[in-house]
Amino acid sequence: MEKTLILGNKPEKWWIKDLGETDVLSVPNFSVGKNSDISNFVRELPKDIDCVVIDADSLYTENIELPLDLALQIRLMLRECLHTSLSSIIIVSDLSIEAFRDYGVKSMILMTRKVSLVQSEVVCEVIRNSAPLSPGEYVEGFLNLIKIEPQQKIEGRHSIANEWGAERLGSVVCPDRKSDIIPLKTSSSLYFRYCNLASLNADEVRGIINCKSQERIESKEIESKGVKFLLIDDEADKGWLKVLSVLMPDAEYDVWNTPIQSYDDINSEIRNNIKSRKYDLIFLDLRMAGVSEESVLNPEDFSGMRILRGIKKVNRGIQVIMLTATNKSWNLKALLDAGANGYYMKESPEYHFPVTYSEQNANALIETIEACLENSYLQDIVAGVAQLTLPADSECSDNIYNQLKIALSLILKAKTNADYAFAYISLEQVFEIATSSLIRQSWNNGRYEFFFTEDTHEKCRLIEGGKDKGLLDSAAQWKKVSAIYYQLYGGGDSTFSAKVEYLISLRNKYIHPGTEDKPVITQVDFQNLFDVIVLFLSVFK
Amino acid sequence: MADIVLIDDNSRDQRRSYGADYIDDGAYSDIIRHIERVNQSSDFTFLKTSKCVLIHDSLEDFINGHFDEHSHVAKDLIIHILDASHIPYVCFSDGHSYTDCDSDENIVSLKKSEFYIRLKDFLDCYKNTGVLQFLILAYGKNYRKVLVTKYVKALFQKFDSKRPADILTIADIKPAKSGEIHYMEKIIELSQPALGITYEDLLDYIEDNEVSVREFQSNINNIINSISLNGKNTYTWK
Repeated sequence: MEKTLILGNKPEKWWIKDLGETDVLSVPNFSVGKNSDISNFVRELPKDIDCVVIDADSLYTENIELPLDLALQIRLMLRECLHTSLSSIIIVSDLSIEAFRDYGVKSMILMTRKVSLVQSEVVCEVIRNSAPLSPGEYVEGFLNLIKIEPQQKIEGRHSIANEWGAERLGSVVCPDRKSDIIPLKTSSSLYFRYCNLASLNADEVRGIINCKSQERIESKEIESKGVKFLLIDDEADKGWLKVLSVLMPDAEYDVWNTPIQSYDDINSEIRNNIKSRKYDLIFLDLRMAGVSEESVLNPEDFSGMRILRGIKKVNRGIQVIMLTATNKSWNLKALLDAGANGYYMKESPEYHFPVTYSEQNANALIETIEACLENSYLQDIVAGVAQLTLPADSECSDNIYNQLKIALSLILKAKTNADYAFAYISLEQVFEIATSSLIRQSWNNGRYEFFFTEDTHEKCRLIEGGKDKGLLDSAAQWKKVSAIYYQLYGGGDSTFSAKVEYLISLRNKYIHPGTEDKPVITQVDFQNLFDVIVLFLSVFK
Repeated sequence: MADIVLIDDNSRDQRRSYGADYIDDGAYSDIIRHIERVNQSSDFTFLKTSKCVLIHDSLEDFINGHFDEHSHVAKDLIIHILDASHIPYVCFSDGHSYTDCDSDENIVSLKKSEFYIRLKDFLDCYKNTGVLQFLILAYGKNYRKVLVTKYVKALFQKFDSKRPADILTIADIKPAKSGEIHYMEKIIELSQPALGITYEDLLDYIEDNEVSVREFQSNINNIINSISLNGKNTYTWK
């Protein structure tokens, strides 16, 4: 006889005595539906049992389905019970098998391999001939035979998908604390347990029972000191706030979790915070109106899309990561086109993604968050553009503004160094537009108005017939910019000239590298160039 | 006028999630009336003309335009009126994990999800037969099978130290002490009229004949099989 364990409350029964020396474990009075209590009991079972015998008739009378529950939990708790999950399960009852029908998936366990319902009269013989499942039989004869559905049909799907998604992210981000992410009641539900196993193959089952699965235990964290994020999700309390807080432990945050239809439904305090650039990053759920959006097909009709547009209207540069369970490419494209800076696909329990996908998905989210945090300066740049005072000449002003828009559109979508370089080159063009227009306009009575006398800038000046006619149009760009700045500002930042020379030479080296390697241009360079342009344009106030 | 009154704040539109939006769609409006917003100032005179009331046990008072999760005065008031008027009621709530009745047979504890899952069968039964079958709410459409199985299990536990070939005695079947439920009597009640044998007849038969545990259990299991397949017992005791 294999290693056998009897779960029952009457060890004095005749057939248990006939079996001889066997371990008997008493079973508490679990109420119907108390999966978390049952799973706590099953978790404590020995891990090396070949045959589990459930003495159904000795268990709590009010809960007829309890033996089925126990059998199902033993099978589903593979990661906790290890080899015992593959044991041969024998339910002993003198009640007709009809008594155990009509309990949905719990009854279905009787149809799977090596789970049998036997009368006490034959139980000893059945036990003696029992053998545990092989990993392959576990997959073919159990996982592939049953299908467990969520209990609640409509809101349930929305809610469960959220909890499942948060749990999956938590399993990668904080495997040691994933039990804190969602309530035990949910994580121990039959549906969650089933979904956690459904994609396994025989080798993976073998790896788990031999404790060879390489589960990481270290948490992943993002440097988040000084970061403030806003989470807009009607299911924020379904684990999302917890998992994001674990991911960014030092960040401050605000949460909006009331179902809403549009941006204007958010309270004025949070809207003011968005507008005044108080947040570095916003996480926004696509379906903020809950169940009512289950059947939405047009991406524009999602509440999250309307909220995104509202956010971007008041703060185009703020970084927004969409949280969504949608897997429709047209939805994701529409969101990115509307200005979303990234998205995280909440994993759905309906699609049995392998563990490796969860890891890739979580890592992609971490990269997206890090990129967004690096780009949080963009909201200052966008706001800076809006506050610029441009030259009085309307043509020059229009051209500068259009060039700034081009540079902004490039930087807002920039992800690579090449993207940053092209945004940078585009931004530098503002100098070209401004200087050529201003110098042209400054021709007055046979001389240019812009000139200055410092030795280092002598070559800028046009000398004709011994007469100093001012700034030379063909002079180096940095000299022209510096000349205009110093003359109009009447002092100002004494290091301006050096900064401009460096920044413009960076652009020149990128465009005309010659035999050298092209320099790497980063978002920091873009930011520095933007600051200098702001300083330069400020002289027109 | 609807005979059945459902009072549930339904604050998170849970009826929809439980698949019971047919209530709000008015599909059963001839027999059930639903009320969501009440407080202690509400007019409850309509309760006295109702045949039964189904009420959310954690019903929140609707005060100043919103539900107050800390105020349940209206619910207590309603139960008081129902008790005084002897109108049967059912209390359901997410917080209840098991089904329980009080001494007046009111269902005072029922899980909300189970209540809504079973409500349609309860309403269909009333619509078709005019009977308020609360057992449907308590145990589901196939309540006979649930009850019989429960009683059979308890009955079998009384003689589970006996081997299948052992002979049954009356003492194995009758309650061991006063106050204990007559499980066999309950089983027979739920199996009539087709069973064709009374409780007393059965006791006499067991006393006069050598009935083995195996044979007795087989007969009882035929009752379970019959109710399971047909919704009621069609098996005649042999």
